[in-house]
Amino acid sequence: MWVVFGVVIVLLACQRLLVSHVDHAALSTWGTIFVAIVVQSTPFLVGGVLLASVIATVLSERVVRRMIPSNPALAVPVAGLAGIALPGCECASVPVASSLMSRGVAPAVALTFLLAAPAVNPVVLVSTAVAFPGRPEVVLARFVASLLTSVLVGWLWLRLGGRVPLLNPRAAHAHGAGATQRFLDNVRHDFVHAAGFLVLGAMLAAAVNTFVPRHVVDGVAGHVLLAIVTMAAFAFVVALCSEADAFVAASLTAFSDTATLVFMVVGPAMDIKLASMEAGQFGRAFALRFVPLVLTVAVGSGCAIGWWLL
Amino acid sequence: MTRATQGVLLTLVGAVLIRITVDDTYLRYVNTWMRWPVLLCGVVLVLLSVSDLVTSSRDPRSESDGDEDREDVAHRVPRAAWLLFLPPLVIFFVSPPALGAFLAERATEAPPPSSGQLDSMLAPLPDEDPVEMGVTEFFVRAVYDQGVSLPERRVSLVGFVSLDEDGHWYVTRLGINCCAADATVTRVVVRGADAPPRDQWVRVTGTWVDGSGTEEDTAPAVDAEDVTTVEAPRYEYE
Repeated sequence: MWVVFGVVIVLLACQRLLVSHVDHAALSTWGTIFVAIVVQSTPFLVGGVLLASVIATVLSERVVRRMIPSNPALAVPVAGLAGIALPGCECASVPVASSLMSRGVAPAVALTFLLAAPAVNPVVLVSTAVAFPGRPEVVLARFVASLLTSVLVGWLWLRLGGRVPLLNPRAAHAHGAGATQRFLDNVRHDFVHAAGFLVLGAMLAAAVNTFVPRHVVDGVAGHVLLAIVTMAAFAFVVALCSEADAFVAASLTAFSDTATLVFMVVGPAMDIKLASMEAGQFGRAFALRFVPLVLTVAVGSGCAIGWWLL
Repeated sequence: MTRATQGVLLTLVGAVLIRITVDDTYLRYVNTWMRWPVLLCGVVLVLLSVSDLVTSSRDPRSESDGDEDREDVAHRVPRAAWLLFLPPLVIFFVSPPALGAFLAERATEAPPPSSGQLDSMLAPLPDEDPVEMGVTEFFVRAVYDQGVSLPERRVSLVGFVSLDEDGHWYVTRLGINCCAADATVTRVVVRGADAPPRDQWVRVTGTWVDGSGTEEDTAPAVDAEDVTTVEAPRYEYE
């Protein structure tokens, strides 16, 4: 947690310094992009929080257990496919996953859902098809690579035996509170917990968007390995919403198809905004293991599928 | 963070979201289709904090009951939650404008249009003179249609002014899909007229420079007869 505040303080201190060096246009551009990311993501976060509270209020542990196969190794791919049904941005899935875990779903299964939901839903696939006209193989490759990433991470997490601490268990209302009251409390609680980290991620992403010129990114496009690593890093730091990243990927025409695919697979699975939200929701120790794991698997499966299909 | 502060925070964020949709400020940051989601989200946030006020004032027993609860919640709220005050403050006090030349001179070019977009953009030009046309449409007609519909026609383009290192100036539009973070730029070189100040919105009337933009690495250009300054449109992205 303190690292997060450290970053903020350094950022604020830097900004003071930057004001004198960076012209006004750069700062106001930063402001516009920062506000844009927050305004764009907040409705999706609120939607996710509402859904998470519906799960927490309506679904009992018994019902959840009946819906999901008891064998976690089998439940992981089921969770991955279930991700198709939640058309939302990635910000929505963090509270939903946390809520699933508190309903007794195995962490690996909930994490698979967290990774799959923003990446394989119909809205994202349609926007990818629109961004890459006449190239259905890109849509297929994206779907397969993202699903593969989420299922692999789920299985690996099962194997490595990761427990996920629930840092922010909701205050238990043992008595007196009705279902509506409990529902509203859940929504408020989840929103306040997640939104701060969303803002932090938006601040960093806007800074990268503003201060790193795109031609620096384009400059390494020719080199095969470097291009893939750059695109992965770029996807991580710019933190675009998964419904829009295909358009940006399509506009980076200098890069190979595989590098573009890696960009679209890494983006929804892990970015700076999600890492910040996950550190807030599940703790820093969790984030330190989960973030690199997801990044590695996403880049790996992006490369493999890109080599196979594109 | 106390429960009361959380209430203030939710109300503030919700009220700001409602306000920017009502007075069209949201168009600087996100696409037009985000209007209803943002408005709805603002209303939900305000209702949430209002419902909390109502229940805690109506039911004194639950308040005394909930005191320990509240203490607990207050301890567990991460301090990052305070950051949520920042966006409303930035919107109120800085009110960042829509993206302009600073980003346009750095952003990546817009991706090629899909075949559906191409069909609608390449419909026969109307008979008016000059033809009113979006910067993106002009760009697409020159680059992806080899300019077949453009010779002999006067066109009128509206956009803002951006520059490059070589001393050219451009009539420019940015396009966004979701929000300003994914902006891409479309711009057309203006020849035969002095550059207005950066970021100034202008209407450029002129004709296509024959062959410009049809070959790789050349930008489409327009020979200006007339450049007038205009007001920025309500929705500045294209």
